Parts: sequence; structure tokens; C-alpha cells
Amino acid sequence: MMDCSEIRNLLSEYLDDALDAKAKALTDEHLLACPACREELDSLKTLVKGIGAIESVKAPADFLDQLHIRIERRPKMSAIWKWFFFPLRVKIPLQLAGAAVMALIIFSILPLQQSSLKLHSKSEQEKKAEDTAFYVDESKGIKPAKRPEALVQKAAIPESAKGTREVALNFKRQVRAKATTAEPSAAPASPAVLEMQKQKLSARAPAQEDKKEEPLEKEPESVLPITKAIEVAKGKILSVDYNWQTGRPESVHAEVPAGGLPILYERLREMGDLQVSPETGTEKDSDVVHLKIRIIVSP
Amino acid sequence: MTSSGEDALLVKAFQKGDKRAFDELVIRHQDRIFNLCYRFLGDYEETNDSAQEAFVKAYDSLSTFRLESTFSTWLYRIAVNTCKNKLGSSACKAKRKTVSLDNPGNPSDDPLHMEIPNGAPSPLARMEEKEKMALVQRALDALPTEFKMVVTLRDVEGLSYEDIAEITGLNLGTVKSRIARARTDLRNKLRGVL
Repeated sequence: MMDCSEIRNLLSEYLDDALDAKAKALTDEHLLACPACREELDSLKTLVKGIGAIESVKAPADFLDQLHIRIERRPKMSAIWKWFFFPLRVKIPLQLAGAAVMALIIFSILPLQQSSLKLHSKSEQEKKAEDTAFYVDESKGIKPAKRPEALVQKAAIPESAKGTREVALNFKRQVRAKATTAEPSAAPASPAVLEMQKQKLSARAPAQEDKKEEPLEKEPESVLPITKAIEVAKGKILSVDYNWQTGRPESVHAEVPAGGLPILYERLREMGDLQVSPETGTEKDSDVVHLKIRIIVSP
Repeated sequence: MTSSGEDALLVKAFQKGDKRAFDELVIRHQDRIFNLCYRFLGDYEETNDSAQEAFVKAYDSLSTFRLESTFSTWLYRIAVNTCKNKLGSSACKAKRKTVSLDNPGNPSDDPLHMEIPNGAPSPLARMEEKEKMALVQRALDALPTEFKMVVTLRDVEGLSYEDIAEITGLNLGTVKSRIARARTDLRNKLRGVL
């Protein structure tokens, strides 16, 4: 059984016959027994009747004429402005089409950006190598090359070394007892070399436990022996290329007097197997030979 | 044919290029829309402006109206939104402070003329009735807009709860509760008058 306050909350809907059957039956039952709520209902009926009795206000007689004038005078919407007020059935397909075009653009640009990112990450790796790259400045001698300069230097090499002789220096892996292996030098090294040393340490760690013999790379961690050999041959180092992934030196570009070649080759042969490409045409007429010493590490 | 069926025919005629069909729609609905706007705004000039604005909006959108609701419901919705915007404008708020409920603004059209049958009340009784209606209108005007909208649509225009929900965009429960609250408020204010 509902109390008066609950019933009075239902009287508005009761008056409009908007209650469901159960609520209507409860209200009917209550009203039969409650004169106060009946009075409240009568008061509400009078109110609604009174509101409905408010006289209506008619539009002026010239309403349509005024409307015609207003329609004629209203500012014409520009085509662009109208575009914003297209109905949803037009706008939604247009928006979907726009979204599809955007998605196409994004997915066609994304791979390019990713490759750009890869290039960027490559250059980050290269940075390590290039920080240790050298080029020869006639006035200042050998100095570390900044990245753009190194790129310029590298780009300049093929132009100036059309008659470059290819020299391949093949380092063979050797097998040595772990016990004889010395710890890496404490001397400061380039980030790339440090990384190599870390890799070596991690590779050596398990071997130290069982003291077994393991293959050790006698790879050139620096190109110092090669550069020394070039110096002995009175040559100049133009640049050193490092592998951007491993940080290992891959090739040395040098300019060597023709007379110094035999001693250079001799020194290089002491380091590993040496293969020399035939003389180039330009080399025959020149006192200076451009060399590209490729450093190969074979198992 | 029903009134809404005739409206639908006129709408289709307009959409096929018959501009006179719109005039017919205006003539059929102008008084109801005008009265509705007047109940919301309480000022004759503003009512005239808003009612015309509602019809201009209807004219501009009628070519894309798909008759998913009746024309009158659609037109009511436009008028209600136009009045809500008008009520929200600062100019209207300022003007409403000085509006006289007894003066609709166009005496020549006699908008407050009451349809009183011959032999009905004396001039004194008519004056009293007029005064009573003014008090009711004043009480309606004093309601917050969201309550005045729904109670006007229900008790002045006689629309169903469902139509009111469609016109105002409110859900049915909100419409019912707002009407109930508005009526309770009006009854308290008009106790002794009605």
C-alpha cells in the first residue's frame, strides 16, 4: 500500500492516463480511501484545465508575406558553409570516405617512415663507427671525422679513386687456449670496439668454466697494424670504413706512393692472406696508388 | 485524409519543386507555431521573429526532410529549438525583464481576444477571467525553461508524452517527471487562483 506522498507523485501521470495497469489500480484504490489525495487530484485537474484555457495568440495576418520577404533576404549560405550542414546520410559516407583516404595515406607513408626510422637507427649505429672513422686533412693530419664530414669524405673517395686498386687482406681465425687469453686492454676504446669487447667477454665467460679450448678470432679490433704498415710505406690514410652493425673495420682507403707498395704488401702479408687486384690504367701513369684494403675475416 | 497525411503530400510536392506547397504548409501551421513561441517567449515581437525564423529553417531543410516523423512534430522541434536559443540569448534575457504579460504587443490583431459565446459572462467576469489567465501565464513564465517547455507542449498544445519526447529529445521518463514537477510547482503558485 502506497502512502499519500507516493500517490501524489503519480497523480500527474494518472491524470494523463499514462500509468501502467498496476500503478493505476493502486492509485485508484488509494483515492477511494483518501479524500485529501482526491482533493489534490481535483486541484491538479483544475490547473491543467486552466492552463489549457489560456487563449491562443494568432500569427499576424501578414505572417506569410513577412516570411517571403525574410526568405528572399536571408543571407545565402556559401557552398562551403552549406557543406557543414549536409544531412548525416550525406556527411557520414563522406566522413567515412575521408577516413579511408586518410588511412590509405597513413598506411602508405608509414612504411616509408619506418624505413626512414631504420635508416636513422642505422645512422645511430654508424655514428659509433664514424666517431672512430678517420680522414686525412693535409694540414691537420688524422683526426676523427664528424658524421657529415665522414660522409662527404666517403663520397669523395670513389671520385678521386677511380683507379683504386683493391687489396683483400684475409684474417684467418686461430685456435688458442683460453688460459693464454689476456683480458681486453684497459686502454680507452671507441664505443664500437667496447661493444666488440663486451661481445667477446660474454662469449668467453662460459668457456672459462670448463677451460676448454675455443676458437678465438684474431680479427683486427683496430686498424692500427694496417695504418702502421701504410705509414711505413710512406702512404696516407684517407678513411676507414666500419661495419655499422658490428662496429668492426671493413676497409681502409689509403694513398700510397708506387714505390712503397712492395713494403706495404710485405707488412700486410705478415698479418694475413693478401690478394691484390691487377694494376689499373691510371695507376701506371701515376706515382701515387689509391688502395682500398678490404679486411676479410674467414673462419 | 489525416492532417499529417496532407502535410506529407505537401512536403513531397515541395521536394519536387512546387514552392507554393510550402506556403500551404505555413498557412496550416503558422498559428500553432506562433502560439507555441508566444508561450515560451511571452513577447509578441520576439515571438514573431522566432516563428518566422523557425519557418525559414524549415524552408531551408525541407528538401532533405524524409518524413520519418510527422511534419508538425518536425516543425515543433525546430520551433522549440529556435525559442530555446532565443531564451538563451542575452538580448532576450534583458528584454524579458521588462516584458508585460498583459501586453502581447499588437493590439490591432487583438491576440488576447477570447472566444466567448454570446450571452456569456459580463464585462466584469471577462475582466476577472482575463486577469486569471494573465496570472497563469505569469506562473508559466516563471518556470525554468526546461519545465515550461514540456508543460506547455502538454497542457497548452495537448501533445502526447511520446511526441514531446521526440520534439525535445528527452527520454519519456524525463518528460513525465518534468511535467509532474512543473504542474506541482504551478499548482502551488496558483493556489487560490485556479
